[in-house]
Amino acid sequence: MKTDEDQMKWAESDGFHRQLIPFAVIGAVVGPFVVMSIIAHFTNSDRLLPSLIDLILGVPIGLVGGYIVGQAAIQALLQRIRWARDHGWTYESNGKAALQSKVKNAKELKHATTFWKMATKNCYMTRTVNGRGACIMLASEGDDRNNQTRKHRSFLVFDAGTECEHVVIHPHHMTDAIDLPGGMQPITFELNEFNKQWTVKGTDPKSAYDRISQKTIDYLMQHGTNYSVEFKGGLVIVSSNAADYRSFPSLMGYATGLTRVIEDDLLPLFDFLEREHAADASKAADHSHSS
Amino acid sequence: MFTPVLIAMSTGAVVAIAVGVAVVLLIIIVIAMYNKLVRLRQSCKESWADIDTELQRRHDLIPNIIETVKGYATHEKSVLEEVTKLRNQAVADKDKSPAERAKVEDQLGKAAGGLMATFEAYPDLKANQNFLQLQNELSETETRIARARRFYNANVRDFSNGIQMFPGSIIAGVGGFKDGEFDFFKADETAREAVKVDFGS
Repeated sequence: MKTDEDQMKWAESDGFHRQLIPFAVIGAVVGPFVVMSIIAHFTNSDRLLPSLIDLILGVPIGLVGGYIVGQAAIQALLQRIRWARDHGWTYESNGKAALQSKVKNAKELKHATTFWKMATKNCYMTRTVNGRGACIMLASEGDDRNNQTRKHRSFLVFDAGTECEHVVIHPHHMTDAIDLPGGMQPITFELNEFNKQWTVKGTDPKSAYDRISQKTIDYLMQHGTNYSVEFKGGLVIVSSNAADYRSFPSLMGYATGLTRVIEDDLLPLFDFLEREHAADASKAADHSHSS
Repeated sequence: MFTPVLIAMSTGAVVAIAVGVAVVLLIIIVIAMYNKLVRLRQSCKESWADIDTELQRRHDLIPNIIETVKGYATHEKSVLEEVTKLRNQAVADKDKSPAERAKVEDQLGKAAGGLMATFEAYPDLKANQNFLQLQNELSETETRIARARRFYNANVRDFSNGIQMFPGSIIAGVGGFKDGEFDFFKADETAREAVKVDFGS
């Protein structure tokens, strides 16, 4: 499938309706069987093939139904593409490949601890600013059939622009004391309140201390425990429990804030909300101009 | 299979095994705690070495800064003299305790920062690439000193907690770990107030 501008142009052309023909054909084939099984249910019939009446009723219903379902699916996809474009991202149909090619340090994800490696992921969007790649995505894991027990999380991974030892910052959990993979050690800070709410572990305490300054501690405490942050090599992974791409701006804002509170030589600024800030500034300018 | 063996053993043997297991566990715990204190002491030493390296970098930078700005100093001779005096004192205090060094290093840091701020007003110097580079290097060094200082103080805090809290206090007593072995690297308030450098303004 094409991406971005091509896709939008395609959607606005006749090609969009032609793309729905397969959906309608599938609907027309499946429709008579659905009608047959409904009729069979009420008449206790054990027919294996649809009758003429099933065909007369099922084909048009399936045709229209398939078209509508196809249209809804493509519209939902287009909405995501449009959202990505409006917020400065590129929607990726082949997300995994895009993540590997756009984010230089994506290989570090293999050793990351907060990233859901085995989860089902979708809605990949990428962007590159000053040679630093970023990818945002939705992930979910658990029972596919039970939406209530299924867990969702959003991940934003981006090139740090500097190297860092492995440091993980996540909300405090009871098993943290025994969950110390790969030579990591727990790291505590000056503020007991912070140590109670957050767990920090890393392979080099100095790296963690440099990045988690008093300003960073204040920032993490101020924004609650919905987020996790991980530094691994040249990669930063920020995640939140948001389950919808429309919640991405809060994750983007959180990551931007993080790059602001950590000193520039350790994590250069990455403004994920550049578009939003520019739009706000333009609105404010228009407002002041008109008044 | 295990129960008949226990039944076959005398009560004395069972008690002896239980005591033996408890002693072995105790020895493991003591060794682990001792090693933790050794590790904390080592962290203090290493992080102090980091501070020392950064302070040394500042000591090396200051003569270069003075050399660069002295040609422009017409009214700010006292500033240069004060910074030179503090720098020499800081070098002389190199082997003193962190608490003692912190006082003079704090004053030197402030004086050096003030010196740069004073000379920033000179348009010729502002265009001098060497001055700008030194200014940048000093600023980076100050940042690194602040980070190293915070990390060192955190290690001293952990070490101090480790040997004050029970049962670490017992192991520290036997193992020769002393509270106050490492001073915090921070100047007291009186030292902070004592910075009086005439910047000629």
